[in-house]
Amino acid sequence: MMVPPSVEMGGRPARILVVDDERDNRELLDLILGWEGFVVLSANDGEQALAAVASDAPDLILLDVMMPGMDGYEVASRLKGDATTHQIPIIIVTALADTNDAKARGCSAGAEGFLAKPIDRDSLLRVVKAMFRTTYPGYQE
Amino acid sequence: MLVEFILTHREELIARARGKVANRLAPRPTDLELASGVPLFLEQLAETLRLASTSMKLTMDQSATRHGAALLERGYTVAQVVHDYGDVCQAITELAEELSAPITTDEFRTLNRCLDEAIAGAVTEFGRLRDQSAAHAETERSGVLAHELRNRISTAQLAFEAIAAGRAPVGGSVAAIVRRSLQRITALVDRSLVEVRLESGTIQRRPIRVDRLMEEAEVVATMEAVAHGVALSVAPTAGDIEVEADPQILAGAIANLLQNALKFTRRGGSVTVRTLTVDGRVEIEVEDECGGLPADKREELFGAFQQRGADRSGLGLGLFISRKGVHACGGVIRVRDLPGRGCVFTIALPRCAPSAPTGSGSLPV
Repeated sequence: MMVPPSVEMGGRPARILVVDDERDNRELLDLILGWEGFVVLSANDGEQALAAVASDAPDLILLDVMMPGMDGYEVASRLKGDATTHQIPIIIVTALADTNDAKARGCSAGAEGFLAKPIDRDSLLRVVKAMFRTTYPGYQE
Repeated sequence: MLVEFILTHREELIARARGKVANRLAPRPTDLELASGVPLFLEQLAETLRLASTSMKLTMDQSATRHGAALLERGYTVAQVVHDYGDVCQAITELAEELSAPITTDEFRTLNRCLDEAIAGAVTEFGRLRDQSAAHAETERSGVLAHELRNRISTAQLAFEAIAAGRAPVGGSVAAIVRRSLQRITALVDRSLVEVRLESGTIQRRPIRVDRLMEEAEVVATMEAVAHGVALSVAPTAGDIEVEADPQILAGAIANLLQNALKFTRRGGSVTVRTLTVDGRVEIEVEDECGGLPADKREELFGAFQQRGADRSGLGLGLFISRKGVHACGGVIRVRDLPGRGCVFTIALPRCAPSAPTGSGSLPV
C-alpha cells in the first residue's frame, strides 16, 4: 500500500461532502478523493446532506441528483438560498441521460459544476481540483 | 339531407345510442365511453358524411385518423370503436324510420360507406399508435437496462483500478464493491434472459424438489442478510415436496422476493421464509419487516419499473418479471399486508407427485 498525498487550505485539510444514496458510489468517491488527500464526509440523502452542512460545513459538495425524497436540485437550491451556506461550491453528479437538461437545472439551482455518471477518476479529480483552485486562493496540492 | 337530420336530432340520437352502448354485453362499456364517447362518434360520423357529400376523400381519411388518435387517448379498445360506430349508426337508422325522415337510399348507402371508412381509418390509426407506444416502452426499458449495466460496470472498474494501483487492499471493502457490482450485473443479465424466455414462450417446466431450491436460495441470501444486518430464518422444507416449474425462473422469483425482503427490512430486523403445503398447493412464503404496505399500492408493486421504497438499487423490474414467470409455471404471487409490521409475499404453485429418488444430485438451477 502506498501513502496518500495531502491537499490543504490554509494549513488544514480540504474537506468534501459526498451526497449519494448508493453506498458503493460513496465508498468509491471516498477512496479516490481520500487518496488525493481530501477529507471526505458523506451523506446518503438530501436531509442528511443539509444536516451535515449545518453542523460542519465542507469546502465543496459533490451532489447526486437522483435520490429518494429530496433530490439533488432541491438540496442545491436550499443551500444556495441560505446566506450561511451559499458560498460552498456544489458539483452536481448525475446519471441522467439528458445531460444538457441536468446541467441547465443544476445551474438554475445554483450549482457551479457538473459531472456525468459513470464517473471516471481523471474527470472527477480534474473537476474537483479546478473548483478548489478557482474558489479558494489558499488551496495547495 | 342526412347530415341535417343528424344535427337536428343530435340529442335524441345521443340518448338512443347511449342506451344501446349501455345495454351492450360485450365489450362492456366504460363510464367514459358512455359520458363522452357517443357524442364523439356521432360528430365524427356527421363530419365524415359532410365531407363525403363534397367528395373530399383525403380530408375524410384525415378526419378518421384524428378520430382514431383521440379514441386511443381516451383508452378505447378496437372492439369498442367498432361497436360504438355500429350502435350510433343503428340509432340513426331507427330514428329516421320512426320519423319517416326524407332520407334517400343513396344517403343510407353513403352512411354505410362512411361508417366503413370511419371504422377503417380510426382502427388503422388506433393500431399504429398502439404499436408505436409499445415500441417506445420497449426502447425505454432497454435504455434503463443498458444504463444500469453501464453504471455497475463503471463502479466495478473504478474499484478494480484502485486495487490494481495499490490504493486499496485486495480483500477489503473496495473488493466488496467489485463483488457486489459483479453480482448485480449477473442478476441483471439473468433477469433479462428470463424475460426473453418468457416473451418467446421457451420456458421448460419439470418436477423440482422444493427443499433443494430453498437450500440454494438460503446460501445466496445469507450473505446478503449479513450485509444488510438482517436475521434470516429459513424453516426446513420436507424432502417430498415437489412442484413442476422452470427451475431458473422459479429460483429467480424466490431470489427476487428474498432480495426485496432483505432490502426493505430495517437493520436489526428479521426475514422469515417457510414452505407450506395447502390443499394440493405448495406455498413459499417470504415474510419481511418493511413496516407494512399502503393499501392502494399493493397491486402497483407488480408493475414494470415500480420501486417499493426509498432504496432504489435495482431496476424495479423484479416483481413484474417474477409474477410473469411464476404465472407461466402455473402459479401465482400474492402479497399480504401485516399492518405496521411488514408483509408476506407468497409464491403458490400446484404440488406435483414426488418423482423417483435420484440420490443427492445438485440443484438443477
